[in-house]
Amino acid sequence: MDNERLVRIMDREIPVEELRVEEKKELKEFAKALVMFKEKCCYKPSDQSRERAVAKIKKMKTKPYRMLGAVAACMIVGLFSVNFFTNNTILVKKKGDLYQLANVLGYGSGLNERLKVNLLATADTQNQNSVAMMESEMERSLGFLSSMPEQNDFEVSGINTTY
Amino acid sequence: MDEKKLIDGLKKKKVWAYEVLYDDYAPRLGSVIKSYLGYDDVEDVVQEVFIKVFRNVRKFRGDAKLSTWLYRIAVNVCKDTLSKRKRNNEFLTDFLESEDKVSLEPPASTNVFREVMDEMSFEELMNVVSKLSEDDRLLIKLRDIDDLSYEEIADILDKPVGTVKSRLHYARKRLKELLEEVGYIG
Repeated sequence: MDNERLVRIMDREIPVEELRVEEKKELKEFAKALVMFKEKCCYKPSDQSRERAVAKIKKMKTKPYRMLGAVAACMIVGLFSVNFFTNNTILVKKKGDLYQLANVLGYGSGLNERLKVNLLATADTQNQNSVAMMESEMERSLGFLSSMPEQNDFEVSGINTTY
Repeated sequence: MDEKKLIDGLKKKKVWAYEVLYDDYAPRLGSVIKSYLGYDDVEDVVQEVFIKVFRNVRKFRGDAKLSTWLYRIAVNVCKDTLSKRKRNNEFLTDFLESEDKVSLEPPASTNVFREVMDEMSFEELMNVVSKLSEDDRLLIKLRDIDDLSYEEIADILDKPVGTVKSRLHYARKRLKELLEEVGYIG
């Protein structure tokens, strides 16, 4: 049987009744091969694979909600963090050379007292509460920084040698 | 079940719709996947098809039959799987020594076996079938086994009807030649 005829038979363009005996035999063998191929390709999914597929679908269905929940949880934690750190801030001012010098000279405690008093006294005045004001107050309390820097050096070195 | 109701359920992501879809279509899709890929372990591929359906069901406009759309997804997943597998095989083949290369071809039928069996065995026939290309196997499966029309096959493969006809013609011719080679027909 030639290929053209086989294709026409397979497409049912030629009725089986019109086939010759040899053609019928050949077609029967060909059909048998196809049936075996069909058997080979037969697929019956197990209950387990069905469950797996459905579980996967369910998981994918709830995924947006789970993501939304995670985002909401992150936002709540973030808001709490911001709130906590805003209400519990400790202002730390770096101690300058001047402060250390005051401590060396034994004025440290007096300076602290004066500083505290000054801060309390000026609490309601915004400008006076600035760092610049605090430093100028410290300068005044030490009483030697208003003079020239050379003189300060001299003063410091002099004190250090007698110490 | 009414196909329209099923599609509606699928679009609304109802679990019952996916259960019905699995029960109705998993065996058919699994057999197409099996015929295309040529191996038995197709569960993961079937699952991948259903995941694709879940993700893309809103894009289904209803121009074609649901089964045609599902077949098309299955064929595309198969092509992706096959290309991945080929890439992996290429990597392994490059990695291995040339004499240790793994043969991906099925074992050839032996004359002794033919003499003993007197008739072509199931495995032997499968070896013949496996010599066909994936596309040829798919065309024969869709047309001669699943009895789909040329138009449906053209829709599934996204090819013109004429191309499908001519390719199926060559696929049948190739199968006939292979069967003649082993003396099964002719």
